[in-house]
Amino acid sequence: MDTISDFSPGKKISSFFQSRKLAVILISSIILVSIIGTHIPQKSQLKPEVYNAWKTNHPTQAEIFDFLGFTNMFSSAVFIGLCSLLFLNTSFCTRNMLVSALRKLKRNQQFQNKDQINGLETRSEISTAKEDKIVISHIDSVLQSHGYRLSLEGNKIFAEKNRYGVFGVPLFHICILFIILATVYGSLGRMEGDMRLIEGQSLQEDHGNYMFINEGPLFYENHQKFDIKLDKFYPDYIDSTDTPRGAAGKLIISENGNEMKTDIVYSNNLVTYRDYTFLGNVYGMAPLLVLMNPDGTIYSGSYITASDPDSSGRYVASFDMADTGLEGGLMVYMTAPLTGIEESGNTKQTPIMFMKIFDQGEEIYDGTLRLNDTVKIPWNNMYLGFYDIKYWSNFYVVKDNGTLLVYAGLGLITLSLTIIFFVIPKRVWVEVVKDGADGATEIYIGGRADKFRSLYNEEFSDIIDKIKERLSNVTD
Amino acid sequence: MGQIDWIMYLTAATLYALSSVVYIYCLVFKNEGRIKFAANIALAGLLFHGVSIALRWAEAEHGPYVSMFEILSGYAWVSTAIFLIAQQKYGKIKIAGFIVMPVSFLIMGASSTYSRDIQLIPASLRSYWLIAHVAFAKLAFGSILVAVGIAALYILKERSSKKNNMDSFYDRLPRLQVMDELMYHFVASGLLFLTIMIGAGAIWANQTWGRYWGWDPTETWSLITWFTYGICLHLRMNVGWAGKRVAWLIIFSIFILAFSAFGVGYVYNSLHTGYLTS
Repeated sequence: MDTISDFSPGKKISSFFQSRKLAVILISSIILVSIIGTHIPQKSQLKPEVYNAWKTNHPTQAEIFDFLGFTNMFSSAVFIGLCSLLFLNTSFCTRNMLVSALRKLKRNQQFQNKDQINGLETRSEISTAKEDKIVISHIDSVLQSHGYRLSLEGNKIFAEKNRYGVFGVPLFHICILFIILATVYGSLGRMEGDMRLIEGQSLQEDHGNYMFINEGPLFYENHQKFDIKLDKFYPDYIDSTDTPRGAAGKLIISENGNEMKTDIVYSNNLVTYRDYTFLGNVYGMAPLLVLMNPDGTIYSGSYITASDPDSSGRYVASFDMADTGLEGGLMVYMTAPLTGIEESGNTKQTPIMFMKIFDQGEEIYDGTLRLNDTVKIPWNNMYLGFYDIKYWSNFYVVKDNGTLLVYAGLGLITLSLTIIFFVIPKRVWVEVVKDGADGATEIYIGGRADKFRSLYNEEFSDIIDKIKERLSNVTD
Repeated sequence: MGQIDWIMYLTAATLYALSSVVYIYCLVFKNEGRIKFAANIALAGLLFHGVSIALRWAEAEHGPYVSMFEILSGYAWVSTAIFLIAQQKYGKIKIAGFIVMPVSFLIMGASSTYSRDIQLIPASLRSYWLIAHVAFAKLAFGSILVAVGIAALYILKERSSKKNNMDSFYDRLPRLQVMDELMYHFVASGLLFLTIMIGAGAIWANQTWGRYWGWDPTETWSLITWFTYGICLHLRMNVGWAGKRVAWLIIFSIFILAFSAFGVGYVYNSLHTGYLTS
């Protein structure tokens, strides 16, 4: 009966977290929460307009799920709490597993006598007229041919293989802990952003090219030690092996005016520099619109980034015209002229732009512009020119120092699972006794595998058969 | 060549169907004599199927991992191949083909409902990591399907022995303990392959989308599947579950695996939807 002095909160907590059933409960809960997370629309995975549409259509559900944090399930308190408990549970179990593996490693290095061998589940006895030394040498040879390492002590043999397989289970659990820590470390110091560059344009000092930036609480670097320029954009890039690679951008990275790296970013071909990774993202066309005063001087001008939402090859944008209060909408696409001007094997394409301009919501211009066209707009006698067109591309920029650690963890988990299930510690104990009344030599042999014991019986039977075969074939 | 590979495919599907019928006949009528015949038909089907895949591979210039037709066909081929290798090694579980072959045939049937047009490999799929990802998904499914076959045999043998009417048919199956270990063995292999599949997928996702994990429904379901088989093995190794309970758990879990591999793209809006539904 427990007395008050026996009660130790530390022990209670320790035994609670060491529970193997707790692991089952926690993992089952994580599975359940994950399934719920895949059913409820997640803010982080949907485009804002899609998420907002769901919210509008299901206001009550959205409110409840939002309140519970289920619309951000995988960063919700419930999910993080479960993962933290699993982390604690795994930590406590890992400590025990390591201690037990070390104990097993020491305990198993023992010779056993015939009585102990007779207590084993998998055992056999062989009687032979051969001399004990000859018998031992044949047993040695058979066990070695099965991959066992032997120790000898008088007439006793202890053989084992895959000794370090006992560390498979603790290693697996250490890897789980390692991956969780690497993920946390990576996300705390993570930086991600979407950088928009027009051909020939460089990253601006003030982050002006970033559409968004998310920085983890421990991200502290000034990631603008270097400059990035989109030197050239290829909507249909074909690499040196004639393999189509889709959209690609040639990036030039420089530091203090010195070119440090030039590479082409396309799908599955990232550019990395100083632990930052650059991936190609959406792209589009950017016509240059210049607004001019009646005397021909420039009032304002900029490249308008137009995108192709339905992959039709038609790029659309809406824009404000500097501080004029005018708003505009355009659609631009590339077309080959009917005459088909050939230029080094390719048909030269020219842009055509359809544009509307509104003043206080009232349409004041609707027309078509070709490259280098200038039109007069009915607003303060000003002119609008379409003088250039370039590609623009968004580059997803990410820095996550945990990535390589997670990969290492995954590699080690694979290794540990291989050890657990395929590097199974197996042991054989033998005692050779010259005790037959007729001077026969008795061989007591037993074996044990840590797992798959029934399947191990086949290997053990094979060992016994081979020993018998050897002994029957030899002459003294 | 397109017609030849299709004829080979249909021949393979027919042989799988025939093999399934013979396996089921052997189980229902406890006729051992025809099991070898069923395995030989399955092997013939596998050869025709293999030639069909090879011809299409040569024509498309990419392996069976771009269109759903190719992916499902690959699943059926790998599952059958793993089963035939397993039954070669553990001869007494040959009758497990009564689960494996009908499933392979059904996957072939499902595969044939998708377009057979050869699709150019999109730039985003040009990665060795993707090849590893898909290959190990198929190996995982094949290993676990064999485990399901053994689990079903385990339950049948156990029921028969409980009724004390153990006939010679079930008697000649491996001992219950051996079958228990065999299903454990195949689920363990499946978990190992699932781990490599998830790892390769994570690396590919990082190359393509800039993050190795994003809680996309397909990714989440692959983790759910991994956890499910992790629990199976944990219960077997550490909590003392064995035999019938684990056998039922393995049978139940394959529905989670199948949903994760084939169903998620249809139910959820996922980044993988385009790859898994066309």
